[in-house]
Amino acid sequence: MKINLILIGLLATVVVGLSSCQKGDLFANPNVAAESNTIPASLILNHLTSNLMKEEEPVISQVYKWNQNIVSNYSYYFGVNAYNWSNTSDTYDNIKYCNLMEAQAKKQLNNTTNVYFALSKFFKAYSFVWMSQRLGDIPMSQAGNASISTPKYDNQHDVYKQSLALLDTANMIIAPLATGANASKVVDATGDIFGLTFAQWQKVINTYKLRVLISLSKRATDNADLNIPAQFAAIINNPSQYPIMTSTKDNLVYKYNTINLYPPNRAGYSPYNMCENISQTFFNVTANYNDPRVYALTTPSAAQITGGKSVSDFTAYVGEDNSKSIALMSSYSTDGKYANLNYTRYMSSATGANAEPYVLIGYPELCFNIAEAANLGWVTASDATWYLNGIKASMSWYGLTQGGTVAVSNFDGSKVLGNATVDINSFLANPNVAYQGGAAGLTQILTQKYVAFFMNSGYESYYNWRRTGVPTFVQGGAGIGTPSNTIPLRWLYPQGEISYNTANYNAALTNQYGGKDDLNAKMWLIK
Amino acid sequence: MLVIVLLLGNLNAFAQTQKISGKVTTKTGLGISGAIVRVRETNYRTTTDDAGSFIIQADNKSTLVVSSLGFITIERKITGADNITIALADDPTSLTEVVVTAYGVKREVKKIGYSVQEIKGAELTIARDANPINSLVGKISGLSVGANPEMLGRPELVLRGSKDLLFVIDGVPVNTDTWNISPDDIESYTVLKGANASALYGFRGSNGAIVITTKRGTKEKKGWAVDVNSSTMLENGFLAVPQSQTEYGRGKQMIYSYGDVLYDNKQRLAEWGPRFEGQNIKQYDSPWDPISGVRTATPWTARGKNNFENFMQTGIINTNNVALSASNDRSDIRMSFSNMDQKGMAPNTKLNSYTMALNASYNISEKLKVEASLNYNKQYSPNIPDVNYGPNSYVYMFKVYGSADYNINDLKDLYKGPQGVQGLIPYAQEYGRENSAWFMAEKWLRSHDKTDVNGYAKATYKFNSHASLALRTQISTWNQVRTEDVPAGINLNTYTPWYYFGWYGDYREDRRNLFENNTDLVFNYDNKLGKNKDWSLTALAGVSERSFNYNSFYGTTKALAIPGLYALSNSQTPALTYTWGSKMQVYSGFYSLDLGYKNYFSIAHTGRVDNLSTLPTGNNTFYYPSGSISSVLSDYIHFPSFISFAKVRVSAAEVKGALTQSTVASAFTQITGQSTNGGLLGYGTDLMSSYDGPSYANQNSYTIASYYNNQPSVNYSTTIANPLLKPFKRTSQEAGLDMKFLKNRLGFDFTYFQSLNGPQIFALGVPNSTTFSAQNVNGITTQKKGFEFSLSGSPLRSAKGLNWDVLFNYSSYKETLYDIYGGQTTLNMNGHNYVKGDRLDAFYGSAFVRDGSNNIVYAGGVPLFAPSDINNKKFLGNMNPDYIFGINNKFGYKNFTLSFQFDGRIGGKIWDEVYKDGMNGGTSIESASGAFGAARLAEWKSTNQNATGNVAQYVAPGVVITGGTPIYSGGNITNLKDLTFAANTTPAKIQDFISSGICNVQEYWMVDRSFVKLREVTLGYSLPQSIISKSKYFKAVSFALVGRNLLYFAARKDIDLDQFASGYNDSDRSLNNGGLLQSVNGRRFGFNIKLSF
Repeated sequence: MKINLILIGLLATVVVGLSSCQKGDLFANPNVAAESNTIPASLILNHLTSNLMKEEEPVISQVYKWNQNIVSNYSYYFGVNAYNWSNTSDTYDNIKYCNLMEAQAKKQLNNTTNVYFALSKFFKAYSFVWMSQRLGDIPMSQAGNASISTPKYDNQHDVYKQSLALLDTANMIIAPLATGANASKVVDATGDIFGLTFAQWQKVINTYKLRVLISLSKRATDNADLNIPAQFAAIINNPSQYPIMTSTKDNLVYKYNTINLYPPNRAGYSPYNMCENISQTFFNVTANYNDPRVYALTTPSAAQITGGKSVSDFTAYVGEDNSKSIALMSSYSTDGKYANLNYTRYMSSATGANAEPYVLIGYPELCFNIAEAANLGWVTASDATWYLNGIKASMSWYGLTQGGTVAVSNFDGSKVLGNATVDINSFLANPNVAYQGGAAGLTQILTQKYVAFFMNSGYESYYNWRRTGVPTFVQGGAGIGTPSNTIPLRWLYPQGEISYNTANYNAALTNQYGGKDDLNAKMWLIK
Repeated sequence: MLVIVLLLGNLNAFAQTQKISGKVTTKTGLGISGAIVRVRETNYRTTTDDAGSFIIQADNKSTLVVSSLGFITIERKITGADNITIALADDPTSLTEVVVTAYGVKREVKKIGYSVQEIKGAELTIARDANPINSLVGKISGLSVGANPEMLGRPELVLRGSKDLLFVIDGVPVNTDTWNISPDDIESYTVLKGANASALYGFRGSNGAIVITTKRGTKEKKGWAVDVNSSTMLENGFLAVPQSQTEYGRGKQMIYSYGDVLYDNKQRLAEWGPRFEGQNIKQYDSPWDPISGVRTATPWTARGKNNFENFMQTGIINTNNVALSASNDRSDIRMSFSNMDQKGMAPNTKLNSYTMALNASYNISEKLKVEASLNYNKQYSPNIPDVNYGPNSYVYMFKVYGSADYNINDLKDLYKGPQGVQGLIPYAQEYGRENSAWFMAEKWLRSHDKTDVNGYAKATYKFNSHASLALRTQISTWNQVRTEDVPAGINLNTYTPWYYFGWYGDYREDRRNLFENNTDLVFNYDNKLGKNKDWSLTALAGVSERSFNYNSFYGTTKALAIPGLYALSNSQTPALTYTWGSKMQVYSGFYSLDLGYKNYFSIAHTGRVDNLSTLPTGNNTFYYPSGSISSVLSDYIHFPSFISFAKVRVSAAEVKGALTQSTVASAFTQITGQSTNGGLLGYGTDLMSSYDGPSYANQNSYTIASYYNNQPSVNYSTTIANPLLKPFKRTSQEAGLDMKFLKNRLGFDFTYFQSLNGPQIFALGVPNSTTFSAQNVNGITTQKKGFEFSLSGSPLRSAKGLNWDVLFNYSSYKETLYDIYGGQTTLNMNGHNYVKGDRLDAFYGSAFVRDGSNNIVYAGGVPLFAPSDINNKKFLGNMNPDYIFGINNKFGYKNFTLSFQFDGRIGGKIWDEVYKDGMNGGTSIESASGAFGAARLAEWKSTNQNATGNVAQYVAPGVVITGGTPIYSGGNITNLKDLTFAANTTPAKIQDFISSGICNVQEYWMVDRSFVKLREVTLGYSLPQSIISKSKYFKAVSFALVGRNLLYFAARKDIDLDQFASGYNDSDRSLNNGGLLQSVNGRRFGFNIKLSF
């Protein structure tokens, strides 16, 4: 019996030893940082700047079919051209990271006037406008408030009013920081992937504000409280208080590298150049006007070249019709009827070394925005000058100079088809391009803005078309893919809003669209 | 039954007796514990101990009546000799089976108030599967086994609609991949069906448990026994295989030409090329002049009609087991060695598994017994195949983009010139999309190395014949290393971001380690109570502690610097490495009470308290109970004579748990939340391992991330943590009826169950404007209702003649949405808004738009699409089968046995991925047959052998809208009356119609999920006892010819539907609508030899 007891005792000791409890806090996830941790603000800024460009926006992404820059002819690789839109994606995520960044910056820098606050205000304005452009009324003043689980909707007017105020605040916070030696200092080398200086960020903020103001052109006269023309003029007339971009060097651009590959390579499009064509909508306002940009951006229709035309012959650049059913297109471009993207420029290098980086907000657009405001009489600047500035900036952005030559290759870059000589001057002299002023001039400004938006600035081409109808987008055919085969004017609200913020969502629909989440309804912005 | 009646006699004392000792054994010499030995004359009685031994007072002329559950009662006259051995024969009609229930407690089936089903291990070791759990298919009603066709693939087990079953070996939970169990070491499998049976195991058993009892040391007279089991199976002949067209080769729109370059790596082509008519076309092996760079066209013929068949080989599965068991009066021991070697059907794939099992017990004294068990398993494979949509898998190579324009055997010379460069670039049929399959087989290697150890030590102290206390500590631990050597020159074009043509390859490594310890102290009590011993009480109470820890590593190079050197340090740009680990501690207390009154009823009650480290203090300790009642009506109600047995049972159970997950992914996935395929490599199957550890799903936190140029960045939680989160709750009720007729020749067991799963811990959506995507709530309750039915019969029974036994299993259930959260009326999940009462396995997707006469509406030659929002998706079928079944027949004639099993799942729909991919690729036979084939041929003819462009020929039968604008709801046109229609006359090119048309319509690819398999056939012969008894050595010898997966019946035979056991399941709430490529596997034939010494 004694032996038994000893044995039991021994065994118990071993067992207790084996199973002794693990020390420390087992509740907290050891693989992550708790919300109470100190997180360097620059890490949050890195998240914000890395994700500012939305997935559908960069070069050769889906939006450029909707902008009628390109046409997919084979849906398996390049998707469809249809405007078969449903629930929009959203940028509320940015608002979350702005709030987190402000909290950390306040904790770590002990003030609310540091650059993280300035940038946060800008990102918030950018994100709310991004969503309102797609939807109309959206939750803004109560969005991202931890104590409110069903945020109320702000009407679109208020969204814009608050966004403009945010941009003003951003400018005011950054202005004293962007002086002296600081002006040319990079804001945050690891946090800001755009790598801009204090002065450049201030320019981005004000340049973006001009985009927002011009997008309100339809509401310029009936909303005194927004004071749209005056706010625009205030920026133009007071460059020391409101510096704006002065060249494409100030562009807000996403630069590609060996880690962040150029989108056609990252998305696996590069071997499939023949599965898309250039849109005829684009050639209508480029090749038709002898625009040398087509040499750099596209490659001529193979059949036209084998038919004997030279690469500098603008009639060799034939586009496909975005409204055509994809099944009736020349899939894989096997008959060579239509032009493709310039393979060498956009697809030959994984890092995009031969092409432009992706522009979120650019200088050429700024020029056209000022030209448009001048044409509308908001400012006293010369619309003709800013129109020319815009074209020249765009030409140089695409690497074109008067008298230069472009080696034009075939659709997979395997053969140089010939050299084309760039003649910007004769392009500028084209009667369709030479500035006419007045209503015709306005159309010219908007047309050239559209061309300058080729493969950049996300949805801006579509938004400008939606606001002004320039240039003429093709619609009505089966390829548009909506019930009436017309291009929709907005998106449906996000499913999370419909399902979990139902009362406020319904109120917003009643307030705007007769109670219906209608893709074809006109929002306040463009009424 | 009789036994118990007999026991109730009075207990008069008798004088002048002596002590008689003896042993009660089975026919094979195994001691029977708990057998009742009664002296007929005196009614003195005793029960045998664990070894089967007994001592009883009897005079030397009396007769012993020996009975035990499951055996035929016999009488034996005492002839004066002491130390007698009484062997009992199995009672084939016995109902008094004993099964192992929770915590290893053996209970009589007739007293159990919930549904359990047992199967003997020996039944699964003849027509065996490489994975022992796969063998359970069709044998347990309510259990669906989705055998995985992939080597080392884990079968998908679905029990009453839930996955993630708990595995228990010898009373203790173990962490297993199901491959580390040697079936030869298994005495029995008991399936505890749901919480009612397994509540005592806590939340890990909430979906049910598979309780495995391993074999113990022999009670053989001579003290030892050796058993040998060997089987060899060949795998050959495809069971389900996609059929490919061999009329057209690679290309696009009927055109193909290899470029005038050495490596044409800019074309990623499908099989929509020219027809094989012997015309001259530039091909990969056409003569190429390195100076001019010109390739000379050669005849275009179907050189590789049988490429797939020529590539795949006969698989072999060889399994051997030798077991030695021994015992004496104080101890027993069993040692077992097994090996399983599998050679896959894909060349150069194999798997070796070795298992060593040792268990022993020793009675230190009459009261103290110690036992220990250790099970060691090593799995090793230098190369296991991978399968998914990508250039790493053979099904993609041969059945999605499978052209007959090259001969696979031409690629056997891996580095043949001019393209091949030794060690750098393989000789391949193309360089744009595919790889040479032979090169992949020899050079692209995925190794697997895993060691599993589990075992326990236990001490039991018997206070007296009623009470005992057992202390046990157990470990379950494994470590696993997987590597992947991606050779130089392999083509990962458009898949892996850092791939470039001519690269030196990559190396990846995935390491995982898990350790868990379960220690428990359990007090057992068993007694009869009351004045007349009318009440029986079996009770158990215990405490346990579970200690868990896990850590993992994942790393990959970003292009190798030196070709052929597979090491993480050999990376061109810094290798990516990730680590992830977890720890958990669970303390539990539990009890179980079984109370019986005479023969009238048995009541059981269990309760358990858990304290979990995964929940915040305050909500982390919780209690849940279960209860059942059963009654054998036939014991006290006089039924007509054809009813030999009737039992009813009712039970209810509740289980709670929180924030654990059953499986774990790679460290990369655990850290980033992205799959290695989707977020990193662009190809490959993500490996999930058994885990049962913390999920950490309810914590607001920052994770480290990198978005831009390797700079550090952070992500913040997208789900809002809930500090007030309570454990989830599951409740279930079941009722059953068990009846036997005609002297037990026919019987059925029927169980009806319903369960409420919820409120769950659910990440419920929140408005996007909160800036989060979800918040954790205690919400969402689903309801399951279903039944299980087993019918067993013995139509023929004869001691000398033909015997025939049949077992038929049938089960069915439906799961619906019962409650959401607060006032919510819809639940947005799996791409659909479900409302209360909806079946959760209902799948909604894109469908054809139809006119009033059900004609498909076309626009521009392809199907017209309804708007793409969620409300315009159409119901495309339920994903779960209507029912599953299995029929097992066994015939016995003298020493011959023949058995076969059909089983299957009937009903439901599934998305047939290989069909859609093969059609898109132009490979599938259907793309070149029927109306598509006629149009394809006409279109080919329109090109005049590629002299002119192809002219569209396929006019889809249907209509077009000629007037009016459609208005849609639910994917249907609601204003048909305002529209005018006319027949579709717009021709489309065949490639466009399929790839840009119907490939975008999910409805087209939904196929019937029903299938039936002839699962196994065995023809066995045992040497008759008359021969065996003459042998000095052999105790039993048997042979069997076996076959597995012999016949497959399904609407489409391009996929083996077996692996898709679950449609919707409430364990991970995923809706499995197929969408997977799988390896093609074959029929298996072989033989089995069993020897006992």
